Amino acid sequence: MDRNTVLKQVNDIFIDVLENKTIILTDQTTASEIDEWDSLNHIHLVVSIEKHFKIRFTSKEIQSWKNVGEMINSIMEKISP
Amino acid sequence: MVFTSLTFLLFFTTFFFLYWFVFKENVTLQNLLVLIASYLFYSWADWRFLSLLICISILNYYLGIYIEKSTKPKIKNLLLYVGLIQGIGVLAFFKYFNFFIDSFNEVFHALNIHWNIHTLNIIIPLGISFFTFRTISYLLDIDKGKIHATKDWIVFFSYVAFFPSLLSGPIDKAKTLIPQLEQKRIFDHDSATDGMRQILWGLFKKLVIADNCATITNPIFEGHSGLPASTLLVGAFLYSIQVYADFSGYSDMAIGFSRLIGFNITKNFDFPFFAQNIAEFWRKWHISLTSWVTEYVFTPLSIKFRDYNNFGLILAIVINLTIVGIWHGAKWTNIFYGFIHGCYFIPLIIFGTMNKKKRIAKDKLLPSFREFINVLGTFSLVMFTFIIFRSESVIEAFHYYRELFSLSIFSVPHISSDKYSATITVLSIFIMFAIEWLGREQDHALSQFGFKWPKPVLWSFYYLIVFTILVFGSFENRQFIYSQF
Amino acid sequence: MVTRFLLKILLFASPILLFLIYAEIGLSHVPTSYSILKENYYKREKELEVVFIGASDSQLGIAPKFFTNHTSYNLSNSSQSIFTCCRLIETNLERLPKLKLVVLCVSPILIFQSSGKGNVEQWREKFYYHFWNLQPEFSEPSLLWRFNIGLYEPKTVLLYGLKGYNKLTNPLLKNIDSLGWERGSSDNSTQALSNKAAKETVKFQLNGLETSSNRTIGYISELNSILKKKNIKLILVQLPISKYYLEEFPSEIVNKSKTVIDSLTISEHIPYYNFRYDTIYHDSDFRDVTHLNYRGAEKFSNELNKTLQTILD
Repeated sequence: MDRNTVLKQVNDIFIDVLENKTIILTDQTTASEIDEWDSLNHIHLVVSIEKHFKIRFTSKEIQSWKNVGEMINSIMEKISP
Repeated sequence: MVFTSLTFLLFFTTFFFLYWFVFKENVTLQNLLVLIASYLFYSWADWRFLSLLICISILNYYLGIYIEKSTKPKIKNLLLYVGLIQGIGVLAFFKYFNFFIDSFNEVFHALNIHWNIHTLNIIIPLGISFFTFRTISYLLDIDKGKIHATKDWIVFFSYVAFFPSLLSGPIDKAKTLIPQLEQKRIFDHDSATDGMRQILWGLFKKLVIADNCATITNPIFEGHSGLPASTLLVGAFLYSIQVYADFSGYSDMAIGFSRLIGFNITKNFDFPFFAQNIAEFWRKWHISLTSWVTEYVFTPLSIKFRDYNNFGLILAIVINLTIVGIWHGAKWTNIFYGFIHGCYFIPLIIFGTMNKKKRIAKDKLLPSFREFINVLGTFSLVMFTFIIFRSESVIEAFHYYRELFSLSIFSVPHISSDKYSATITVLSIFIMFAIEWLGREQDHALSQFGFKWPKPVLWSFYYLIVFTILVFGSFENRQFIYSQF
Repeated sequence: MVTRFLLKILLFASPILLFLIYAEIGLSHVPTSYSILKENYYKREKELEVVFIGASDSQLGIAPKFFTNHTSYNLSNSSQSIFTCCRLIETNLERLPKLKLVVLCVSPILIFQSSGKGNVEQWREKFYYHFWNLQPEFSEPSLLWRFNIGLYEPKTVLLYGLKGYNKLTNPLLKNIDSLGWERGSSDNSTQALSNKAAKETVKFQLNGLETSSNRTIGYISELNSILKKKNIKLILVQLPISKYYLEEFPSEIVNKSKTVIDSLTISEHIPYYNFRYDTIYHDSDFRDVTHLNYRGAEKFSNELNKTLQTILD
């Protein structure tokens, strides 16, 4: 899977979980730009992404993300060994 | 040196001149001035613990640098744990030691073991809960790679002891305050003027609202047995207003003074009594503390518990709010205060309505009936918990609750202060909420208030507030509620 | 930028500042019992041999003008605590080269006066700090107290600014003579002297009394040791009081204070003269249940004079 496909699939998960169809993610998107993306929904997003890609993040990884790009990097590391 | 004293006025004026006129060209000298002023400010309140403050600063300064430097995860973790143990240890010793000993003794007593551990006569260093949380967040953020350790000791020491927020917050995270200390400050006329407005509003809330409420609530809480339920209701209602006016007034002043010297520190209140549910209330109440615990307690916990769905979330949130409660001091009343709030979240999580963010009465003058009911309901839930927050013991709080829910609720409240000052108090509360309602979308209530009026009218309005403070303000040199935490 | 900001703030604050200056000057011309007593005291400091000090009972009850053999002054004032009395004497000792005797007037309610919250007279500390530079016993002194505007409630300052500050002057001040005695009027009514009035006074006074007298007794023995070094005598006196008050005041507190004072006078060798139960004073000698009027004061001062002669000669 290439990076763009992953980003697209993650975008779909965001739309689904946050119930907001207007979301368009880029590598630079941060939580402060999307109203519904807060500490609680963050957990829902992580769980959905883990289920979708059948991967498991460590706590440290999850907390180190500063933007969507870094999140995608973590996913890429796990699905393409 | 409280913000409302003449001493502070002279202190700050001198500081202001040195800061902007003498040292304005050199950031390091400016920071050194901030540091010296902060230590002076701290020693004025209690010089005995200045050495503790300095030692904690030295230790965390080096820990920060070495945590970042070390490449071996083991050493990194070890250093981080040293920092965390120091921070939590100091808090535990000064604030919680006697509480644990007392609780142990009670347990032993219940088990019929005669083994009495003595409690220590401990004086709590002022502001310890506030500056400890700053150093902890600093180390955690370095460990997660969110910020870089600062190599400028003056910057770091000033961050830990920054005087406007040293004694009662807001609790600034390293990533908010340290970059501002490193940068050259430019005097912003509009921001400073707005800071003055915020200070004026803070003074009004503290001296007119909070201190006048205190004259009514203190006798009610200190001798509530035998009082009719209606009086107790008035007591609980006014105390809720009092805590808000006291603490948000203090925060407004701290933020205002910071703005005068070119800093934008963390916002602490966002009109919490207009919140429509408990979750929203906590997003608006004591924001710097809740966002701190959300980041360093709730998020890690909820990640850990993420496989247990809603149950995991509930557990994380109840723990989170209980910690918010304990932060106020080791007393069962505080623990219950936090725990009850945690429980308030349960229905919100189960029905998934926790984070539905909707601005109240957006672009409208008045809220809808439904919104109004939500606000009233949220306020009542909060007011219920402030009774235990204010009580000396859990048993006393239960007595208060039992007396509150009795038939004497249908009687005329009995208030110790005279009719005239009671009327003034109620009227000023009404005016406060009216002005805050109109400014609810702003950073603080006066930030845009009356901007459409001609200048002389606006100035007359400000004079009116000054006049109100002088005539109706209570000047008994009352401490701020949050200066004890 | 900063200058512009400061000018704006100054412009906004200038009416307030001007008013505060006006108020400060206005208030500094308002006489108070503290300022009058201090002024007259310092006028006579070089010649004084005897100083009487205590609360309102001695302020009204001791008239120094009847003590013809020795120059004396009455530094008593309303609700003046034992702490304040002792400190006033101690901090001004250097100014009184001829001082031979200090007469401290005590009573049970002064001995057991409450500390902290129950003490409704705490506001007076402001005035002692301002006029006498006396560090307060309970409250944290504020820089504001150095100014006259800091002595009154802001609303008083503001409202009297419109009415004129001279209206704040207490009319009773003109009854204080140049030796510190306040002349109590004799036109007592039956209301002022009755069991009912005594009951109310006692109820008010008992509010917040402490069970321990260690604090106040400590101040007296401290004063005594300081005076001893300078060869100045200290005596304790209790003034006559109306029969109505004696009937209403709880005897256990009287007994307790007697024990305390007795043990103090024995251990520290302080002479003690108790006129509380003197039967030569009648209703016509009292202004109200706790205070002598000018006739009673003359009678008592002459009586006390005899006692003092024996000590001083």
